[in-house]
Amino acid sequence: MDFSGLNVAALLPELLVSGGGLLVMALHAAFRGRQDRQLVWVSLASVVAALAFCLNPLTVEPGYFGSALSDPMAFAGRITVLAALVLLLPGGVAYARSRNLPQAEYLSLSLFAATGMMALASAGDLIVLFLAVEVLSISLYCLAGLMGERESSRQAALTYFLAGSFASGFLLFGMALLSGSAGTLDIAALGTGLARVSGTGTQWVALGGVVLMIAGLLFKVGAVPFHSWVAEVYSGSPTVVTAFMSTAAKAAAFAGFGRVLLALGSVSEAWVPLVGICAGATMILGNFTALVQGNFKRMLAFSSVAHAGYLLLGLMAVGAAGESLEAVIFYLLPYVLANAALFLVAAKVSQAGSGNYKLDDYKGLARRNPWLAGLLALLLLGLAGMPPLAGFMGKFMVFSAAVRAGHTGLAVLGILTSVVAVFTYLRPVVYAWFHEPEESGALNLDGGLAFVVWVAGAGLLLLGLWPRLWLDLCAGIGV
Amino acid sequence: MEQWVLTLMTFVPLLGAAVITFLPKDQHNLIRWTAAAFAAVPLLLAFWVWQTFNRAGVGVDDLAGFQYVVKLPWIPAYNIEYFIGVDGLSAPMVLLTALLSFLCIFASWGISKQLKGYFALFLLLETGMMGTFVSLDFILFYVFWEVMLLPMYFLIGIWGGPRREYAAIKFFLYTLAGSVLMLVGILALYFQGGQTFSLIELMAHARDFANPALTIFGMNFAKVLFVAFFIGFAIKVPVWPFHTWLPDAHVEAPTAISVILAGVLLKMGTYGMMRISMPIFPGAMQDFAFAIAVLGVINILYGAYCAMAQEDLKKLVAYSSVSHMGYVMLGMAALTPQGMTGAALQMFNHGTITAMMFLLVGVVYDRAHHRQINGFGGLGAVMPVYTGVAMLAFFASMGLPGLSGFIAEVLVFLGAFQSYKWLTFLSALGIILTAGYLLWMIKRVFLGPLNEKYKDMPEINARELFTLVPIGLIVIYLGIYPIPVMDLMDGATERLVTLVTSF
Amino acid sequence: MELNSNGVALAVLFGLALALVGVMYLAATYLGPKKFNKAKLQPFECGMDPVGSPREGGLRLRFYVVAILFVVFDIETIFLYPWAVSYSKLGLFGLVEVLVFLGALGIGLFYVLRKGVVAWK
Repeated sequence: MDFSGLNVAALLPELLVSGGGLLVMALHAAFRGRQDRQLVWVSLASVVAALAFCLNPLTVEPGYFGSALSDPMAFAGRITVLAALVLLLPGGVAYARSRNLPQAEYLSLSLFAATGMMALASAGDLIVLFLAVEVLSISLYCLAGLMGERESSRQAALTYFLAGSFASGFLLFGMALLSGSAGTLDIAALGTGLARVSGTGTQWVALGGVVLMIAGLLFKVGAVPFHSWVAEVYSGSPTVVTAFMSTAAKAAAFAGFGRVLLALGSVSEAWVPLVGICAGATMILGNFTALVQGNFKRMLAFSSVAHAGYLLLGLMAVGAAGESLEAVIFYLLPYVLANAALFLVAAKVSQAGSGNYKLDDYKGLARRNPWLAGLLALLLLGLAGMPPLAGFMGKFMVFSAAVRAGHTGLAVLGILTSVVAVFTYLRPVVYAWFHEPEESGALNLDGGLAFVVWVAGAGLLLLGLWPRLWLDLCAGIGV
Repeated sequence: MEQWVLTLMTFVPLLGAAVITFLPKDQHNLIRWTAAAFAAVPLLLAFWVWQTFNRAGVGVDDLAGFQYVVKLPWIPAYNIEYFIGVDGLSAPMVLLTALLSFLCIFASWGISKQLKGYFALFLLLETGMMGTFVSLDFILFYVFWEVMLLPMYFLIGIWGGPRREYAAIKFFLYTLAGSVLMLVGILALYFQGGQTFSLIELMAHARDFANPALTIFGMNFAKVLFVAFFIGFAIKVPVWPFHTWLPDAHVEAPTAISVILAGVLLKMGTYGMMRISMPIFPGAMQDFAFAIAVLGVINILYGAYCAMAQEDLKKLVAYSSVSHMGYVMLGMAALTPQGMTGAALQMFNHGTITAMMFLLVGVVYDRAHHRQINGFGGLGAVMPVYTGVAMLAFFASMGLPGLSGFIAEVLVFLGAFQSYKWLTFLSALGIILTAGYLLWMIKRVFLGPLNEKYKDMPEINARELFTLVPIGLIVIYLGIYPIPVMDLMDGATERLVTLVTSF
Repeated sequence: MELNSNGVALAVLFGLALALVGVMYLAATYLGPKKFNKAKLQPFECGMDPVGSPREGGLRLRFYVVAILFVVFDIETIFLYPWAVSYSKLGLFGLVEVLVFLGALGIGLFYVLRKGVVAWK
């Protein structure tokens, strides 16, 4: 048998991260949990090794006979997921320790989930895509229920499991119909395969496959009309897990989604209206629901629904008009940085305040820790898309891509709903700066959280001023 | 080397803001003087630009006429450039911004709450304002426009009066709504105008935009975009009926911020119309000129009427700004060289005069802690120097010959009369109303029987005089001899008029 | 006419299967004798009278965990069959892959043992 197309190196980042997860499990078991404090270093080491490997141009060749790709999308997805891990794991372990959650399980499940996410971003065929989705989903179901003694966490895990299984069913059935009618499992070849059956009776089967697959993927990214699980799961899960779901998992899901839509570009008339309606509805519903939340965590949850809408708009332009994926790739990184940091800040502020993520906890934050309040404002405004922060550049690129692809109306809708988003994001800022504190006393950050917040803030500013930094890196490594 | 002068003017305040954040919190004087030092640099550079500015260059749509131009690629994939330069339209605004920012540092001496944050944000605001006036790339312009918005929001919201939160949010939402309309327009222009954000190149595409076959949402492209940009800028001016944020913001903002708001930020609206709307959509400008003139007259009369009804001194000055910005609109809409020059000059002069008025209100507010016009009386007896300076400012605002306001208003009327006789006649009534509300206010505050409560009111002090006297001298000097500022803008305004009328 | 190409044969088979099941089900329902008594309606417990309520005495959670473990290792075996069949063709690479697979499961088993899942208390 010929193994020349194997190139194991193409999957090495995934292997390193999953190996890290296994090692964490083994060490936890070997030391009977006595050395759990050190496990975070093992995890971080595997993440950093994977990062270093991703930046190494060795991985350019596709591996496993075209099932594992190393194009810019895969590179961007992997780096985004790994960056989220670097930001979240230290804070997550501290969070788990302070609430008596199992640290080793948190770490290993996070690494397994990340393996799935990275594989999803680099999947070259439908089977790998589905496997990746399942690996990441099952790990996340468990993570959502990590705080098992709390009912909201159990409820989140179960809701997520049920909604996720439903979505997986859609996805798998869609894949079966699609690959059956196109005669291939290779994602990139789907377009030509479908072109062969157009005009025959099989095209209706293919259409069913496209619609079902898109429905499954919309479920996974939490877009309208499949968004109803988001609020419950995001607000019930342990906050560090929510942060992970709303950042890395979403980025990976969009990478996979983008890859599928890119391949289906030749039959775009079949899905553009569908995705367009969903994108528009997602932007409107996400932003307006976020606006009325009195709970910071739920606000972030709905705002991440809204961001899914903008990303869908970017994907539409990609699939339909042959635009590059640049806009989506760029949008994701600042989104992930800001959200990861914001969720960790939310956990900290809530713990020091009401304990249930009330927006009121932010009152007078500027008096208690002006730097934190300043960075909070920076991160929120970055998400809102105020220039010169990176969120603006991301929105700008997405909207330009949409206009270029002829979706002017949706782009205008996107810009208008961003105003609503600004108002949403300003509320905590107003509380932090314009209100008197209800509790006195400084609110000090520990080193890890301060690191995350500063890195995210600096990243938003840097990427806003020099967006090419990230895009050139993706293009340079991937092509 | 010298083309970097504009970059320095824009970013030195930003550097100052960064330095201030690292100063010790309790060293109040150190923080104040650092802020002053960093604000002095742009002022000196602005003077230098003013001195060395080549008066023969025209600018507007002619790149050769721009000076101190820097053009570097910023985001090449979208043709976004770091493209800055000044011409006759922006040079006076740059000078005004540098001057008022520097003086306002001293007007903020009395701020005691969170000093570091205040001065850091103030310097950031200066960067935003400078950047807006020197940008020649649309995205750069937009970025600076928004950068300016945030510090303003915090400066009103944290250091403002009792209803500061409401005022800050109202200001923010109004302005944001305007800038969002602008962003939509920018994107549309980008894709219709050969994928460029350079304002100069977009002006070269004016004919393409005006093509009647080109539509957007089923309507004429140029007209729709003109209206979108106009609303975006009109909110900033503010043009009636978008003016309601202004009195609220002014009443709540601290003195120095009111000065910047009225002195510089309002000008950005009219500056945007001159720099962007008119040269890019000359045809639409011709079509809408009459409507703009009517709005200008409404501003003049409505602002003046409202000012007359005010009990609060600061609100009175705020409405007088609404009224005076009406002259700028009217002059612009006349599309005659005199009208345009008058509008540009009025922008500069209103910036100085209204700054003086707000500073003066601040002086008495710091002493009496209220601004009720009827709560004073006979201040002329206890504060003769203050009253003297105040008379200068109020008379200048009234348009008394010999003071700078007069020249600009005369030019506006001269220009407008050629185009709209009846509107000019109506707007001249505004002068009477202005005299009415100002003289009535002077009578109630400075003349008449002394309010016993204030018989020991301390006289204006040296620091306050230091903020007022330089502007006062400029007001007198330009009233007698306006050429030093007028010759900056003459070439550009004439060019702008030809550009529109010959289209 | 070729039946296979348009799936008619498949549909016929499917229909027949459905019909057969339906007929048998209905026949059993209508033709079968129905004589209920107490013993018949009770839950089945090895022929004896049930002790206590089924809710209290139900299976312990441990049973489910062990059942899941069983499924995991059962599937492991299924994976090993195709490898074993084509061992000679897959060669060294196949061996390494299977060892990696077994290693991962081994770590899982080690973890499970240390967590005390199968320690019968």
